[in-house]
Amino acid sequence: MSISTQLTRWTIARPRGVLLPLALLMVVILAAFTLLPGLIAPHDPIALAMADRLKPPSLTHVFGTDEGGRDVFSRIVYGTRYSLGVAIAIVFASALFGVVYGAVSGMARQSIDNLMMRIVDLFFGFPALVLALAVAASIGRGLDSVALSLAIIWWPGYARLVRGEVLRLRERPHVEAARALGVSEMTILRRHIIPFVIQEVNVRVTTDIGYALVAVTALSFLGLGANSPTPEWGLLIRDSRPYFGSAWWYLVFPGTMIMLTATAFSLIGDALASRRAA
Amino acid sequence: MIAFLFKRLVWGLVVLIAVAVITFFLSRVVPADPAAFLAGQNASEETVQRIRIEHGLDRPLPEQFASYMIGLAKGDLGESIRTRRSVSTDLKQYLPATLELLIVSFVLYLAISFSLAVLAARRPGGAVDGAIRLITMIGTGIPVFWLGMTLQFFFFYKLHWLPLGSRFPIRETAPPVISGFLLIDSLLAGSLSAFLVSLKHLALPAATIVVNLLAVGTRLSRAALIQEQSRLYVRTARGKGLSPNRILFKHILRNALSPILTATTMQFGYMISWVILVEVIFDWPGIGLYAYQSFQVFDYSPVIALAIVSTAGFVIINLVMDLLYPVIDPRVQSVGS
Repeated sequence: MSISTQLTRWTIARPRGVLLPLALLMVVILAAFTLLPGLIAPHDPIALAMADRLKPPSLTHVFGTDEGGRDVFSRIVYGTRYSLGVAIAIVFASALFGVVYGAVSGMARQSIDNLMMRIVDLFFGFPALVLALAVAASIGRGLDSVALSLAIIWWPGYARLVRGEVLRLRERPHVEAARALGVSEMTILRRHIIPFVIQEVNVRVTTDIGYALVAVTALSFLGLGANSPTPEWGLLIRDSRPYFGSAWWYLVFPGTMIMLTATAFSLIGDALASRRAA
Repeated sequence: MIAFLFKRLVWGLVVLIAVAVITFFLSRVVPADPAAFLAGQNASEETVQRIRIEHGLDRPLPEQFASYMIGLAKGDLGESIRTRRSVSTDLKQYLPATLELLIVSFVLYLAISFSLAVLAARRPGGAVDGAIRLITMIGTGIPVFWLGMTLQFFFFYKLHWLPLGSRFPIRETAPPVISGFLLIDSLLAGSLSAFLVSLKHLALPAATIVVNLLAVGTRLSRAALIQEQSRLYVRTARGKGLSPNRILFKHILRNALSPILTATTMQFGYMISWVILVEVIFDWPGIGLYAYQSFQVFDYSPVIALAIVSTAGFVIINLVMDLLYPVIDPRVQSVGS
């Protein structure tokens, strides 16, 4: 853990010139998929049409059809709500909890801070996804249990980040000045520390959405998440398994969607980070 | 030094106890009816009642917790409904396959990520650096299960070069089990063909894991190398006219190794997680596939056992890494104690 996060970032000015607008475009597309799937998807994502079973991409079905004759593109469009929606919910919930936990820990007496951070350290001692798997399996199947189990393993990262930032900011001149003026600790935290912490958290949230998406779809792929016929992306890939040897489109498009989405968020996170560093 | 190790050892124990508490909670407190949970979905009321008494689920929770912990300490991980055997017996059978896959992937990952980092760090911001950056960035976004299936599509369905999955063809005779590692056992049996067949089966699962780990690993190694490169002692070495390779291997590497080691330890945690997905896709008969097949039929003890066993593995790896720090970097000793 001796390498600072700044150093691990790997930003080069040139390629970002092309990549960042593309990443932003991807986010706009995803937002449209999430908010207005009915306007964009050309077909019903659920209704079966056995006559069109496993058809390759064509003008009517740009991404081809699945084993039930459903339009893969339409299923991907409708699936954005589930896959990306759950990923965003996980990251936001974890960030919210982590900020509160980290801020309390950073402002508390050392003994309490120590105890709170030991609890966080514990989570880094487990193989995270395995733990999430066990949690999700015992709560029962469903996207809600996937969300809960991933949030449980996700928040400690934020707690650690925020606590470090709070400790650093506490020594800053503007905080000392506020303290000297007799401003209460609560107000200092709220007005002079949290606004700075939030900027750092924003960077992390952006990048994490991509990772969370991969984790959500992975648990769905294992059969812990959504149930058929929900068009969740991980489940689409799970459903494509018996057919993908002959129907490549069924495998390729949902996976590419996950990959592009995750990469877009991590590019934007990178750009935010380097803007903060500048 | 001794004090440092003792502290780490105690911490490892704390992690293990914590995971035991969590799994107890998951299997006995979270489910509305833990006996039904243990009995599986289609169990009759009599079976559930029998399990309730057999497992002491009718007794108060603190008492249950005590016997659960004692059982764990003895290596009792419960029973699998699917295989009708104790989970620890099952794990013993499936563990070598997982270990073989993990070790081969890990060695490959270390070699490749390190070479890429050296290439990228040679001229930061250059074309090679940029290309490697883009590849690793896409690598982080590829879902591991999808990558595995895509590799199957190309190398099995299209090219017919490599098998679709499993560890060894059923029709051929496997070498006698000595180490449990097919690569070693086939060599011990003197069968080159068995060795090659095992290697072919191993290729795609290992490649899938490596590609996924590569992204983060290369980033971190590169950062550590670049940081060391800017130090004054490197400038001195250059000024003395030492060859770049000598500076890299004799000077920079020694100092960059411990942050790389830290990153590697963390990577191991991800690897344990990814291996489940990879085993499922490639039908690799390890503990991940075992746990997966179990929870498909609502048999949960193997999943919980997997959480305990993989945490134990992770704790051991962390301890080994802690032991390695002072070896590669003598400065750590003074900090540690």
